[in-house]
Amino acid sequence: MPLKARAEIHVDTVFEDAVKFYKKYGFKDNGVMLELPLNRLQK
Amino acid sequence: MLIKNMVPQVSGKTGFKTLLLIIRIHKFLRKTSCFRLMSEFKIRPAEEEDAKPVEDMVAGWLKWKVERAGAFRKALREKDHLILIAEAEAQIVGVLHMLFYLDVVNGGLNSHILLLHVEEGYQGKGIGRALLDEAVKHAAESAR
Repeated sequence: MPLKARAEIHVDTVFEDAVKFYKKYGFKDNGVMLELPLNRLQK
Repeated sequence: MLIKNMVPQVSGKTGFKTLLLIIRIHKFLRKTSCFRLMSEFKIRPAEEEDAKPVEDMVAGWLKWKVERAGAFRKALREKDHLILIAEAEAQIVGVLHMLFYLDVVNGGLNSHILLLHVEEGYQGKGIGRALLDEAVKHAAESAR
């Protein structure tokens, strides 16, 4: 049985303060950009 | 007013320490949710008439002008775009623009935040977070 489709929010920014803001919110750096998986929010 | 009334009651070093304490408490309250609750702002979907004020706000922030209102209006009509506005004191003080797209690797509906800005005087009041909360809620509902 295939895994459930994943959904993410992405953001990239050059502003250090913005990076801190997104990381504090829960975004993780995936090496290319910041991402927030939404699956944990899906019921 | 409060500081002015309190300081003369205590003199010298004690007065100075009291003043420092009041400043620290004020700074702490500004960072906590207690203060955020006092700030009144609302988050709403963008409308056509927001195009010009948002264009001016972004131009003021980035310090370069370009015709953005047309793209803003066009994005409003596209179902894959979400534009949210933060309003405080009867003016636009923040904006978030998000684009949705299907990801054939993950198999889900991803989104990308293209713009999130809060005017300088309104930063640190939870407006950016409120814009992001609303966008995340929308993205989570769309991804189901």
